[in-house]
Amino acid sequence: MSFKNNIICEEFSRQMWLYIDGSLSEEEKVFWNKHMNACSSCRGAFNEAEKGLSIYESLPLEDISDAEFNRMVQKATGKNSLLKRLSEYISFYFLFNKIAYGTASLAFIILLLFIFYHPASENPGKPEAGKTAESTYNNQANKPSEAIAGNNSSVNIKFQQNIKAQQEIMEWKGQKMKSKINQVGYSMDLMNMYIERNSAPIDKWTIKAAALDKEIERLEKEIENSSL
Amino acid sequence: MENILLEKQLIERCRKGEPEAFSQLIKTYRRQLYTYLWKLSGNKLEADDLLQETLIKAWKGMARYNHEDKFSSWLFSIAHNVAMDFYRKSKVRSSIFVTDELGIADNNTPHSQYIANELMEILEAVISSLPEKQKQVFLLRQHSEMSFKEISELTKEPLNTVLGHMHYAVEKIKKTLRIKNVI
Repeated sequence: MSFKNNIICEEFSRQMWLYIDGSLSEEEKVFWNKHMNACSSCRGAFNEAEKGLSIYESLPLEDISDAEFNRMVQKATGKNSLLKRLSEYISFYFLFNKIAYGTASLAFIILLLFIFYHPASENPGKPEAGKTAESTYNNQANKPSEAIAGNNSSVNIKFQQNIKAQQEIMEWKGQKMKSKINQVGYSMDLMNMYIERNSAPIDKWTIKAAALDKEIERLEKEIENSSL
Repeated sequence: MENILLEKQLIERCRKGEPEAFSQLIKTYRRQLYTYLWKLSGNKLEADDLLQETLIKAWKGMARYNHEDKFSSWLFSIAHNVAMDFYRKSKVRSSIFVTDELGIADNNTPHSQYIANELMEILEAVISSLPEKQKQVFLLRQHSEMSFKEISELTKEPLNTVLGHMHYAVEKIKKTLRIKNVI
């Protein structure tokens, strides 16, 4: 068999199924009919395939009983749907409750966060239930030194924290001003370089230089005042 | 033509929620569908489960059926996908694609009438021993009314590949039948 015929036969082994399926155009059918008339191998393969399929198709099909089928249809369509409705209701109920409980829990957590992260007041706590204000005072009065010491230490801590915060702010401001001064100084250098290069009229730049000098002085004074 | 019109009417009634229409509609394809699932799974119990799942999904999906495809193609697509899902979830290859194992039912089922038929046994053994893809294509082609193009779209394989699967499946069947002097 020639190489060309081999390729055609190989193609026919696939196209044969479309032929059997009835999916080929009339032109394609004519082509393959011609090929089968000329090629006994392909014709034999085609006939065997058709025979094999027809043997398979002649076999009885499997089936289920009518009762079993009806039961399946009822289950699928929910015809006897009392159980289905109940399960759907329960699912919906739980789903709805899950959503409701979830939302409520989230709101509660947000509320707790708001309460506990709210800045605390410095007032002493209210008297506990069953205790009078006097008894609370007496309890506190019986341990004055501890109470005062305790209060003093917390106040001291807060004071120290405030001082430290202010110092940090001042340091930061001072650094900012220093960087500003550096920038001004850098601008001055650039300007001098420009003057040297371009021999610009001195008066205009002198005025500008004087202005920059004043600015530097002002900033330095500001730093001094803030560090005080 | 009359059948097509009747089918359309049944489909419309199904969409309105009539289970009787659904039952009538499916009855037309019941045996082919069940045989397909039986041969694919290899045993009656799984075929029953797969058929049940197919019916549930078909009923729920009636609203989405748009008459673009043939109803049988649509129904067998659902059955095929149900079987493939089952296979993926179970991950027990042998429970669906059984090799060299017959779907032998007990003596009380209709299937027992044909169990003695040698040809049936031969073909069942051959089909169950086919590689996965070849088996799917062969069974879909033989039991659904799907064209090879539709099978190609369902299995997400190129048409030539599907035709190749069919070719090799039938070659194996022919070889076995030749050995047994059936052809």
